[in-house]
Amino acid sequence: MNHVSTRSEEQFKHFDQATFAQVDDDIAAPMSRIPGRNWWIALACSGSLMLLGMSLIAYTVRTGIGVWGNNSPVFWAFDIVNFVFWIGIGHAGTLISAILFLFRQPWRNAIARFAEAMTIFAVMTAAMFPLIHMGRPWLAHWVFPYPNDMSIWVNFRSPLVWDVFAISTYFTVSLLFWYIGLIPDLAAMRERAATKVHRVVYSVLSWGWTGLNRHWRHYERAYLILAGLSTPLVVSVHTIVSFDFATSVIPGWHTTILPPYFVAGAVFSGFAMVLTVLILLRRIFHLEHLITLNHLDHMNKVVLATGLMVGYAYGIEIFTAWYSQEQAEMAMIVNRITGPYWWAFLLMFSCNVLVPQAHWSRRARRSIPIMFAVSILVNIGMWFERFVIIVTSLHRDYLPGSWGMYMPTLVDLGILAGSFGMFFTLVLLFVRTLPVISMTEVKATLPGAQIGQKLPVPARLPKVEEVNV
Amino acid sequence: MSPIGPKDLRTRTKGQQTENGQCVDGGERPAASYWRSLEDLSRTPGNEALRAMLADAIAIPPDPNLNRRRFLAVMAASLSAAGVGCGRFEDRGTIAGSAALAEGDIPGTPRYYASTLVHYPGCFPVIATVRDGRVVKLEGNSEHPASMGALGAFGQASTLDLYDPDRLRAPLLNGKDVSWEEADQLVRNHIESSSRAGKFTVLVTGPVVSPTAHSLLRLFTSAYPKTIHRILATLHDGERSGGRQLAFGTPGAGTIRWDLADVILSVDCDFLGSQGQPGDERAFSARRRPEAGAPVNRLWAVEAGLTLTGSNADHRFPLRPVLQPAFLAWLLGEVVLRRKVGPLAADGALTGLLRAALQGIAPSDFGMQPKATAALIDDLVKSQGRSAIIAGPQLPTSCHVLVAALNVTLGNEGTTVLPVLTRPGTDASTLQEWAEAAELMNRDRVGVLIALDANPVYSLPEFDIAHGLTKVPFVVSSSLLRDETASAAHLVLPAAHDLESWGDCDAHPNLLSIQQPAMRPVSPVRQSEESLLSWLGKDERPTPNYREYLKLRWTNEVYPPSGAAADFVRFWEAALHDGFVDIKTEALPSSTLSIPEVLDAVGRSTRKPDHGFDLVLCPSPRLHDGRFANNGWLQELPHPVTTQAWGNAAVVGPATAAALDCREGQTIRIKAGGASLDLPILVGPGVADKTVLVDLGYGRRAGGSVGTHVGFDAGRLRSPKGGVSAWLYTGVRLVAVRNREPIIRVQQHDMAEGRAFIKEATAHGTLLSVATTEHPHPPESNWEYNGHKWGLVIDLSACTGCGACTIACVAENNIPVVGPEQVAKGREMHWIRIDRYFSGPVANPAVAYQPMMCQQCDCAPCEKVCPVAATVHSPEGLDEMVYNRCVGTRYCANNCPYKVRRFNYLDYHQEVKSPKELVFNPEVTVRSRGVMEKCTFCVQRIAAGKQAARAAGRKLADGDIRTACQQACPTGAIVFGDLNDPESRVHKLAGSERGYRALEELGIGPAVRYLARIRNPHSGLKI
Repeated sequence: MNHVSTRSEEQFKHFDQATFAQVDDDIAAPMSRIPGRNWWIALACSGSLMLLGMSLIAYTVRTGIGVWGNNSPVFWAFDIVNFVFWIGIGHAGTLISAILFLFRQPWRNAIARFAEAMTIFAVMTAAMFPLIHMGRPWLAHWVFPYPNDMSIWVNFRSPLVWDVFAISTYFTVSLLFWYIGLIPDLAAMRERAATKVHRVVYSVLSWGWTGLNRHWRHYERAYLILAGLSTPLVVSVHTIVSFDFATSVIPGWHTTILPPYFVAGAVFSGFAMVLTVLILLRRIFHLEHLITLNHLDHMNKVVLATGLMVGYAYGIEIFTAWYSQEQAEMAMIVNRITGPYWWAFLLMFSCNVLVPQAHWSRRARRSIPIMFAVSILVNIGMWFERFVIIVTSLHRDYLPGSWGMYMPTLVDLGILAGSFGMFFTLVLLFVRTLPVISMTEVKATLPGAQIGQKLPVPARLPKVEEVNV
Repeated sequence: MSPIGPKDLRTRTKGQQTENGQCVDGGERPAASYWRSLEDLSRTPGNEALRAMLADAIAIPPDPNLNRRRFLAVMAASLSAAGVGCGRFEDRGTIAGSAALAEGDIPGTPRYYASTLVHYPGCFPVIATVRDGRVVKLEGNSEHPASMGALGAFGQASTLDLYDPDRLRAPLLNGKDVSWEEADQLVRNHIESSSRAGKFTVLVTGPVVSPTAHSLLRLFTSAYPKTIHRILATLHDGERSGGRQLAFGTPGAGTIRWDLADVILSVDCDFLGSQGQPGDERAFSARRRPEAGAPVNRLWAVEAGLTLTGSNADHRFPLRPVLQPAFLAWLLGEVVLRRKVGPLAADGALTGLLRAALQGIAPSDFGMQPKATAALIDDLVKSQGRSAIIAGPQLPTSCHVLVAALNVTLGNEGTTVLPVLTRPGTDASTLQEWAEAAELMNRDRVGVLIALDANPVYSLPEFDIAHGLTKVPFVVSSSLLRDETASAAHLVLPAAHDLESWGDCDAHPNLLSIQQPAMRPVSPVRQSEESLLSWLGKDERPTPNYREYLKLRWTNEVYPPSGAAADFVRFWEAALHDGFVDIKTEALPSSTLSIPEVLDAVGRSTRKPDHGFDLVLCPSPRLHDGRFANNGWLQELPHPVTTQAWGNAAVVGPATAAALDCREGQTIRIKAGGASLDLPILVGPGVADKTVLVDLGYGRRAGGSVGTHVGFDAGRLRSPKGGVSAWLYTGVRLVAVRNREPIIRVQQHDMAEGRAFIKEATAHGTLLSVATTEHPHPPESNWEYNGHKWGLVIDLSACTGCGACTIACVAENNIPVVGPEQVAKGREMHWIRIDRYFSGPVANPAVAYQPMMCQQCDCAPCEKVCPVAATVHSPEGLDEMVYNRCVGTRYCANNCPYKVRRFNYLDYHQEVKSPKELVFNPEVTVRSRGVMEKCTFCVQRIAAGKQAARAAGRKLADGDIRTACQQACPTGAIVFGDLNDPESRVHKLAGSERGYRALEELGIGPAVRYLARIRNPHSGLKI
């Protein structure tokens, strides 16, 4: 495990109580037992929400976008708010698994797998929205440049086409990255499989991994390359999503700060979402010794840092509007803060700028209730950030004669709830079928995993076969 | 078998040639036993009998004398003989349906017919576009001197009435189908039996604008002497003509020469809006353009509510209606006593009495600054003979006497104000006459009531006609829809629409317009005049049908005095072609003003107001008196000032709303006399204090599937004796009720926020508007237009904000009606909207209108962002919308800074019931749900214009192509054309110093130029 070559005494504290076998046992435990009542309740809740969302989407496709609250001038509302929100959520996963990997941050190992899975699920949820927001979604394939009889090409000037490329690339690379990382663990699961079905499925998925040196060499090379590929995506995907707005002429959208602002916001909300879910997960599956307070503390620092960036962006937007002395720009900012949607701005500002300030305190960063509350509020705040950007910019732009108000319908709310249902259903299925924590990477950080390491006296010596897997 | 060579063919052909018409048998014959004809068979052996028979039948005996000359002579003679029995094919008296093509008809090629809409307020001369036997579009008749091609929203929307699925389709007797013959017999029997029983027959019609219909009515009333004819008009000019009758002693109305009037004072007369005549707007606005040469006129408006007239005025004063008579009296006093102007000033007795009557009245009583009134009087006195004063038809007779006195004093009578004789039959029956009729009904003295295109049950709630009808044994209604009166009638007859009827109209002085059917009715309906004619006894009927009757009257009464050189047939056909003929309306001699009447009017006008509020019942600019309630286009057209759609409201000023502690949408109860009505409040800037205005025409109980229960029936507030007039009540009480009713307003934000997209200038040349932005983007366009470059110029000085263009666009471009719920959500589909902005004090704001449609930008933000290239740039500068490529991301609409794109959120054409689909313009795609749409500059008209020019082998000329909005604009404010053509009107206007482009600073290169609005304030006053 040469990719975690730099380490200090301190880092062993993460796993100081664990042995290789314990790691495997603990991580595989949720997959090997019949799920308990709580899991079923959770699945029933999220599954119902997902079904509700799906039915409402079917209703929308059948009846028309008119069942939503969108109107003229607010042609985009919950549809694109949800899209940007979920795409943003995904970014934490890529950041944790790719960038922190390249920066050799071993504390990421315990959370990377889950964060990556979250990326996949979030991108899947997000990608649904550009599809269903179309007036004629059955023609959605027209946004792809494919050869056709009529020689009609897509419009490469349109940021929506860039979105298509960005998101499909992002999804593909994230999926590959995640899957490559899973292969050694899948092999371990194969070895542990209790039933024939499990064995067959895990065998197929693990591609004949036997832990040969050659396997490891290829694996690490591929993992590194995909991490390298993923890294620019962390920046590029949300940058391109922000182009949807930044390249337009609408005050509040037409802003050069949007790309970095969006990326920071994405990492911010993504970390908050990872935190929300991890806090629950480690509690439910008793993974406190693997996902320790130290991990959470690190993540809270990232939340604080990105929260400050987002706050800076809010400030700069206001400053730029004033500095431009453009009537429409200034009116947009005034309307955003004091107009009919002032409450959305207030919610956004308090949740995203004020609330994370709690994390200056080490006590808060290490307090589960506080960080849980912060993470939930940041998620709410970041959803409203997208609402503020999209709705308050559109509802009053240049000609006051065209101004209007937006009110979501129950269908809008139902589809939003459904998107959470879909996301959490996927998460719940994931935690029961695949190792939520990378066994390989966690074991690599255990004492004695690396050559030339000074061993603390382990409580129990690992068996050889366990080390190899 | 050997192939048949050319030689064989020659031989065979030769063998069958004829000489002198006789068949000569020769040459080869096929050996087979097949025969091809009887002749062929007869040539075969054994068929000699057949041969002889055929020879007898078909052989023409040879005529030795027949030569070429004789042949031609005989042919010529027989051809002429064939023609002897034929009539003129153009005028067969019946109309072919779409299946039967007339000679020269090419399917899909439009034909145009001139006609007149007579059941529409003001009477509109129109040109109907007929395609495959169906009217698809109406436009004003541009050759008609009264309209000059203008056609307001009502006329534009009438094609929808034509195909209304709710229209009656067959005569119904107590709800059961009955034939026309049975129905006619029944009516005749009932009239006769009721006459025998000594009961009356009450005939209710609208004002009879057709002289032919009027003569038929006289025939009817003389045939059935027990007939009482009542003329029903919810809105009419009775007070105005009554005032002139008092003042001058002669019947008639006054018309204004807008072209000659330099200064106009309107006392609550919305002549640019719902109280105007077609043509008024055009004539008025012709004097609002400084380029035209004539000095810009100045309009002073004193009014209760904020109307189109007030919002287009140079100076406007809100004044509660009950004080308006006093204002006129005071104005007369100022002009006569202070300025000593006019003949009245010399009359010592009069001036003394006038002075006494006006004692103690000051401008402050009317809430006006002395400086403002001084300027007004100054203006009027300085432009003697070149000014005009007009008062609203809802004001009482005394006001119109005072207006007459003022116009005489200022020397306007006979110069800018001309008396016109009104023909009997055009004035509505008075309240007194209606009260008598209602009384007769209630006392069982009426045997038959016939309502022809009139709806007394809805229109006269104060007389409770519905109750009266229960006492009438036989009620007949001839109407388009099953309205309130038809619902109460025993016999319901489906009436024909104006575009399916014959008639004429003399509503415009010196002109007789003709009405002809432009298409065969969709179902077997009959025009009411035809019914009237059939109800005459066989012997009394002068002609078998109404069309013949019309021709008969024209032959006897129109043709001879016209002095036309052509024969009647040509005269008649020319009239049908042109849509009108010139006639001589009897000129009224100027009469002298009656001084006692003036003094009496002054005395009646200076009374102090009562406590309580004033109530004004206004004609609706959309539904008029309610007759258009089932027209979805008009229901969805926003009110030009309040922008309310789908309903009416109690409009009060901000101060009144504050005093009542009510917000918009709060229900209030209006109590006038014994009646009361609950309806929501709408806070209207500029509405006078202590005044509440409600539009008539809403709250229909049987208005069709669209119009029933939309809004509130303000007519229920009327009292049988009237208030100040039938539309004006004082001492009204308003009580806030707890309920709230949503008010659907298309425009939700009223203020321009100080932005520079509307520019204004004074007539003296100062630009009033705010400066453009300090940081304009450089215009960036990658396009070069080598051929045409289409552009539009909109003159904000000529635009009155009426909304006719919106309806014309709806009719031309198949724009759906989305309904009140969708409008409330902000999803109206109009391609042109009229933005209306207020500025200045809320008690009396300045108003600006701006028609806003797709600006066809050179560097269009919408085109850049469409992922599938569904909106693309044309080589002629149009932003084209490709509906079938659109996937509906709506990104283009978000990125449009004008927000003029419209999205089909739902399938808005889903509920089109037959025959409504016939109203669609076949040249324009009917869009389905999920696609974006917007103004195309009427691209189908551009294509048609170019094709016509190419077919005629000439270059496209300026004016060949006119967009629907341009064509409909009553003031000619919209001009379309080729900006690349230096001789085009649009090019010249675009270069005007008033020209600018909205949001030009974004660098998107819009192709629509606006011309700054001209205001002409008095030099002594600020705007």
